[in-house]
Amino acid sequence: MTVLLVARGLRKRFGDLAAVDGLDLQVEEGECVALIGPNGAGKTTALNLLSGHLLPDEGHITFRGDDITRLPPHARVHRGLARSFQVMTVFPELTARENLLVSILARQGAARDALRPVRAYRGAEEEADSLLGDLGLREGAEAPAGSLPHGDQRRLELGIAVASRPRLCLLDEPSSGLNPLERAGLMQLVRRLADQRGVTFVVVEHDMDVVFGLADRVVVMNRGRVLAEGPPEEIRNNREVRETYLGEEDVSC
Amino acid sequence: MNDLARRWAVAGLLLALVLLPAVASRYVTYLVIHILLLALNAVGFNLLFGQTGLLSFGQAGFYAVGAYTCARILLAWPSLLPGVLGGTAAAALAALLLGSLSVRHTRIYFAMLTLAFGMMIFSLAWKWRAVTGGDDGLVGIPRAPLELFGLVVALPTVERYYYVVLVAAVLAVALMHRVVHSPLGLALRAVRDSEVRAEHVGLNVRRLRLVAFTVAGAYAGLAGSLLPPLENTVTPPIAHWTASAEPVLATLLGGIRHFAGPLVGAFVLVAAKDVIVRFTVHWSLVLGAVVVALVLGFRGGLAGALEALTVRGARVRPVSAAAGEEGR
Amino acid sequence: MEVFAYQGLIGLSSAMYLWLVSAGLTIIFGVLGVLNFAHGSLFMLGAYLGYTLYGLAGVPFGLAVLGSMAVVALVGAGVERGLLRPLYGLDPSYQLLLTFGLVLFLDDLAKLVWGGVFRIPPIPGWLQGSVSLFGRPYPFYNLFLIAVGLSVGVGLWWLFDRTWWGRAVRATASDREMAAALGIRTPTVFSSVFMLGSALAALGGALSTPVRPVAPGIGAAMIVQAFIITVIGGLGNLRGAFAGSLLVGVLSSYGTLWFPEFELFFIFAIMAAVLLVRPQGLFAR
Repeated sequence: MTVLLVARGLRKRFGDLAAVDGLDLQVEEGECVALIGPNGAGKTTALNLLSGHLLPDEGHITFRGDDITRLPPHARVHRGLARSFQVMTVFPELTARENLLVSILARQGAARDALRPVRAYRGAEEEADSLLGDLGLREGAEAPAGSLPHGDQRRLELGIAVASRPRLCLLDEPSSGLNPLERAGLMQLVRRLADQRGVTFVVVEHDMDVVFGLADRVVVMNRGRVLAEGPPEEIRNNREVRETYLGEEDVSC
Repeated sequence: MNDLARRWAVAGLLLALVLLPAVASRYVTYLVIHILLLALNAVGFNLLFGQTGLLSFGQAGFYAVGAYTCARILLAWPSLLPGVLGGTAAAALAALLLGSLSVRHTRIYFAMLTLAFGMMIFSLAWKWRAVTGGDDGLVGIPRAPLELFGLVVALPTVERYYYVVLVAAVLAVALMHRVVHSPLGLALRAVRDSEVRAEHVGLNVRRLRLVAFTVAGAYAGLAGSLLPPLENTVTPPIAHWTASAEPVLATLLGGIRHFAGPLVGAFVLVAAKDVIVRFTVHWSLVLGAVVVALVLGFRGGLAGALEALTVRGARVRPVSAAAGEEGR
Repeated sequence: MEVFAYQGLIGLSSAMYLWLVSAGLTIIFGVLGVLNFAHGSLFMLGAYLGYTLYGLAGVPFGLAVLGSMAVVALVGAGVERGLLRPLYGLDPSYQLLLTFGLVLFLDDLAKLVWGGVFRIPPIPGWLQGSVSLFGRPYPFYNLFLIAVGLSVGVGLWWLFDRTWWGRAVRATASDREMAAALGIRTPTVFSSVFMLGSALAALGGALSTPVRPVAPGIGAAMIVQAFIITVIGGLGNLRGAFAGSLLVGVLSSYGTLWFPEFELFFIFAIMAAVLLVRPQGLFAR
């Protein structure tokens, strides 16, 4: 397997708090990695550093062999690194279809075309429609995305990230706010997209059942660094993880 | 409105505009020129506000850059096209320059900077006597002939000049229509809806904002450079921030979510102003009160209200959904 | 050299108006997240009211200043409660548009009520006279302004840092919902902050009447300067507003000396330079 992403010694401080404190992480092509950890472990900050939403104080990130530590987010997307957000971020006034289209057109470098109508991009439109089908969003395709039910918006957000055809896609709690049934459905969708499209996923998730059902590998974060990593079974039986993570989770819930 | 009805409406409007000088008085023709100029300015402004979500309170600055540049060119070289193109280009350049200083900031900060830069241009117009003529402005600007491919068209009357403005306006508005419906337009709306999300689908948000700001500046500049040949003078008040309020109000009045909104708004505003200033000098008072009322009560503008009546408001919603991102 | 120092002192005193106005602007933005374009118009309103009370009605100067502050604070409360409150939670553009509309309205209203041309009322007796600084007479009134400006600075520090109200305001500013959950009445905090900010603008305006002509345009001129200060100092912190005011006040004073034609442009050039080199402002942390 080829190495897709390597992060070495990432550090990010907010005032006195080191949210990410010497994070080392490696992701290989084709695997599905779950990133777990108690609240405040630095998972979201880690994702923000990897996606370029924040710049690290120290450390390096290489993606497919290139140093991307200081690249802005849009440049990372063009190299094949996409993400979704924990707090829902779709384009609320664009239709669901346009939400996907804008991602597809941006990927094709067509966003700078000011003169041809969007309709002229048949390929992009067909791709958007087929993705709408995969996401189960054909129904509301022409409605403003902000007016869709929560679950639909969650799937749409996943779709926006996938539409940029990333090699690696970072998902920040893609199922937050969903009921258990919807969660399971979303995770199946992630799995299916991973298989069909050859996307490598790193998923931040709270729901342990979901995580252990989905992931090939689990990375446990605590206090801004990696506490343990390995296959789900191994992590499930890891004593240190059980004590720090599962213990603290009970407190935080 | 369906597609066919819309086409008929546009064709009818164009026909009316072409026939106007034949049937209307010179004064009405003159007023319609002003409507067209404001419409150009407002259409540019709405690319910035309605499409990209950025507010500019400094469009009068770019309007003035266009007007003064065109005036200087015409005084030196009495030919309309170089004047208008030069004015437009100068305004676009000014917008590009000032925009590149502003686009990295939040939307609130951006709006503040546009006002400040607009006033900077105003203070230049006021104080830089050697170039702008100071508070006297520039006078005696010729309505230079239009020279195109060896063809020389003299423009002695307001009616003839009206056709120049009409052609420029129709071309520019048609161009804007294309831009709005292009992938670039879609990308700008994505930036408006969520900067963060847009950045993470691979859009360069700063560059897109800069493009929108520059185009809006160019449209203001085009409108501005069509002014001196009409009035034969240019004076500093056209650069003042109260003048910047006019494209803003026209757009709000017509409706920011509709392509035709700024056009309708420009018509209503110029017509209303023409009536109101006969009764009172306190035009700004009315303007301000209307802005406040529109913001509080009719954020969809006339187009929004009309749509609410005809389609039962299916699509008119406040922009509230987009508010979360900026933070406080 | 002496000219230089003296001109700096002149600038220092006019920096105090700028400080009073930009302090109010900053407080309101910091807590409510509203950038009040009409803040300069509140300054203008304060000036007109101060002028009317003191210059026309003969009310003692100190009382006239307090009265003007009180009235403008009430106007501010009305704007916040009646006009801005319905817009919280919407796109912030609408708040900007609203306050921009207010600038148009208030400036023209002032023209309607007070007309065009004005005399400057005399400096009240107890503030007349001058002291000799660098061999030149420095007006006592300017020293008074500097004293007021510094006292307001200290007062604001005390208010925000040492009182219960200040803690409530800071809690509201950093997390509105959390503050509400702690039992702080955030709508009251909003109104009181807006009133305080408005009163500061009015204080600046009223204090300017005996030495600067009052005219409808002074509000817009003031807001532009306050924006420049904000850019230079950094948005939303009082220390930056203070430092920025001093810088702009003193530099414009030199500007009028060096480039009498382009004083304002000189300040704009500094602003543009700050935007290029340190876009977050010179004094932002």
